Amino acid sequence: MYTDLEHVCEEQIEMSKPNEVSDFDLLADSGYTEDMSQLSPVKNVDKSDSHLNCPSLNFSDDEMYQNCIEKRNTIEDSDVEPQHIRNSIIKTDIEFIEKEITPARIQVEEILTSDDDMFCTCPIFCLPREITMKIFTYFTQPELCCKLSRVCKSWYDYAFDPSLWKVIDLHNYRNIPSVNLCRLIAKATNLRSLLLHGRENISESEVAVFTEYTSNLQHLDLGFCQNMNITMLSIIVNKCPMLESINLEGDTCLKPGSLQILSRCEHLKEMNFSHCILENMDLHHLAKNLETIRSLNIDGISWIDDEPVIYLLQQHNKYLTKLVIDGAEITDDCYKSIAICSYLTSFEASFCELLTDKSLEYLQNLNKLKTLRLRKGTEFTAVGLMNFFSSPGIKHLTSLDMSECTGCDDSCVSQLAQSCGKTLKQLSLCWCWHITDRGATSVVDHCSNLLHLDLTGIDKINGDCFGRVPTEMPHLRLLDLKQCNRVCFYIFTETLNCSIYKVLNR
Amino acid sequence: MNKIVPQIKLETYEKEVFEIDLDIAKKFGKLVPVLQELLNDDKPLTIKTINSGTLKKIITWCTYHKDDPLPPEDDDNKMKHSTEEVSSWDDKFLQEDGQAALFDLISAAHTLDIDGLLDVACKVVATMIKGKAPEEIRKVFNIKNDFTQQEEDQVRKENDWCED
Repeated sequence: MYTDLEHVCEEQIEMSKPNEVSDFDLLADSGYTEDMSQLSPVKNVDKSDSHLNCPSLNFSDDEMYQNCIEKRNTIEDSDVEPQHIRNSIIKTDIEFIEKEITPARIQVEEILTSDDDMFCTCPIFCLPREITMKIFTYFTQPELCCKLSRVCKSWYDYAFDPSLWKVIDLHNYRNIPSVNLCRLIAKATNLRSLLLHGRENISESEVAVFTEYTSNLQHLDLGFCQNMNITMLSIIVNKCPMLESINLEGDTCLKPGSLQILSRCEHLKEMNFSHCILENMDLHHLAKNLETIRSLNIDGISWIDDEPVIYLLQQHNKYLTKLVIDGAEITDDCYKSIAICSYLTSFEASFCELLTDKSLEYLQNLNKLKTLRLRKGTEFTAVGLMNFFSSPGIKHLTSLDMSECTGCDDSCVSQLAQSCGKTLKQLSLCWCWHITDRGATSVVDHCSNLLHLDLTGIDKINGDCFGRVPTEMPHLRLLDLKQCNRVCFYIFTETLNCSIYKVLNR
Repeated sequence: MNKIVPQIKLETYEKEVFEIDLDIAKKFGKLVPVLQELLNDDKPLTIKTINSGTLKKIITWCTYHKDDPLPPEDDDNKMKHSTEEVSSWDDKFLQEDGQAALFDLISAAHTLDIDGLLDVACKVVATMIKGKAPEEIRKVFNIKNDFTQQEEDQVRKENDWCED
C-alpha cells in the first residue's frame, strides 16, 4: 500500500514539476525540515497489543491534521513558487491519511461465531444477515455511522456493509475531515456515486488517497468545491476510468484548458460545467474526443459562441438529451443545429437576446422536449411566439420558462395554456409585461397541474383570477407575484386557508 | 351456497397441520412452484423451522392483506429511509406478541418468501431503532456492548463527523 502511494506522489510531483531534485534536498533547502518532522505522524504502536488492530489514539490526531493543513496553507500563500515544497507536504498528508485509515478495521467474524450467550439472550441476532441488512437500509448514512455502528461489533460490521454505501452523499457534511472521508470511501468497496458538493477544503492529498478506492466510480459531484485544481482533476481522470458523469459547477478556480483533461474519461457522458472557466476550444476539444455526450450544462459561460456548440450538436445529436447553455453569444445559426437533436428532452438558454423568430421555428422540430427555458428572448415577436406555441412540438412540456420574452402577450399565453396547459408543472413568465389579467386567467383556466407559477414583475395584472386557484390549480405550491404591484393580498385571504402554498408578493 | 375453496396443508414444528386457502398460499413465494403438487397431495408439507404461533400470524396477516395491490418495483440504488408507511393495524399486529415473536415472524416470512410481510416487519424493527442512542438501542434489543473502551473510542472518533 505504501509503496503504491509513494508512487502516486512521485507521479504527482513529476506531473507538476519535472525537476530532478529529491524531496530531501528540497526540504533541507527550504528550512522546513523541522516542521516536516513535526508533521509526520510518528506513531509507534504495537499492533499485536491492540485488540482493534489499530493505532492507539491517545493524542490529538485532529490537531495534528489541522496543523498539517495550516502549514500547507501558509506555504501556498507565500510569494515564492512553492510547488515542490507543497508536493512534499502533500506527500506527508497522504501518508498521514493513509496511516489513519488503513488499520481501521474492527475484527468481528470470530466474535460473531464464538459468543453463544449473545445469541440466546438476543433474538435480533438470530436473523439472517440479509434480513438485518434489509432493516439497515431504512437508515440514513449518518444514522448508520453515529448510532448503529456504535451498538456492538456485528452492527458495526453491518453498518459499513458496502451494499449500504453505493452512494455517498456528503453535501450536508462539507467539513468532514479528510481522514474520516477517506476512511468512509475506503470501506465502500461498491461505491458508484460520490457527492462532495460544496466541500470546503477539498485537498490534493485526500483526492490522491480516496481515488485509490474508487476505481468503479460512475458519478462524481464536485460542484462548488472552491479549491478544485488540475492536479485533482488529473488524479480523478486517471483513477476513475468508469466515470460516466461529473459535476464541476461553480468550480471557478479551474484554469482555462483544465477541463480538456476530461476527454480521457472514455465513458464520460454527462457533464455539468455551469459557471466554470471553459473556453470555446475546450468545448470543441471535449466534443471532438468524447464518444458520447448525453448531457451538458455550460450555463453561466457567456463567451461560448456558435462554433463549438454547433460542432457539439453535429457530433452528438444522436445522444444529446439535455443541454443547458448561457446563450449570450449564440445566434440563430446554432439553433438550426439544435433542431437536429431529436432526442433532446431538456433545453435551456439563459440569454436569447441575439435570437429571432427563426430560432423558434427551428425549435419546433424538437418533439420530445419536456423542459424548455428561453430567457431574455427580447427579439421574439408575438407572431413568432404564437406560431411556436401552436406547434405540436411543445405539447409534452412539463417545465417552461419564457421570462423576459417581452413579445409574449395575452394571445401567446392563451395559446400556450391551451397547447400544453395540462402537462405543465412549472411556468415562468417573469417580466413579460404585456401580459394582462386575460393571460393570467387563461393560465388559471388551463394549467390545472401546475406546481410552480412565477409571474414576477407583470405589473398589469390585478390577479382577480387567482381567487380560483384552489379549485382550478389544486397542486400549486408556489405562486410568485413579486413586483406585481397591482395584485392585492385580500384576494388570498380565503385562498390561503384552502391550500398549502406560498404566495410571494413585493 | 357453500363454495369449496381449494386448500393446501402445511405442518409446523409442533407437528400441527394447517389447512390454508389457495389464495393465501399464493402469497408464499417459496410455495408457488409446488402449489399444484400440494393441492393434489393429501400429505402435508412439513416446515420444521416455523412454529404454529408464527404460521397462525402469517395466515392472519395474509388474509388481512389479501387484496393489497402489488408494491411498485424498488429502485435498487435508491435508499429507502422512510419508515412512515406502516399502517397502524400492521404496527399493532406485528408488535403485540413481543420481540421474539416478531423476529420469528420475520425469519418465517423470509423462509416462505412473503415480500410484503417481510418489508413491513423490517420497517417495524427499523422504527424501534430510529432516533435512539446506541445505549438505548442495546437496551431495547438486549444487545451486549462487546466493544472494549478503546474500540468504543475508536468507533466514536471514526464517526464523530456526523454527530448531531
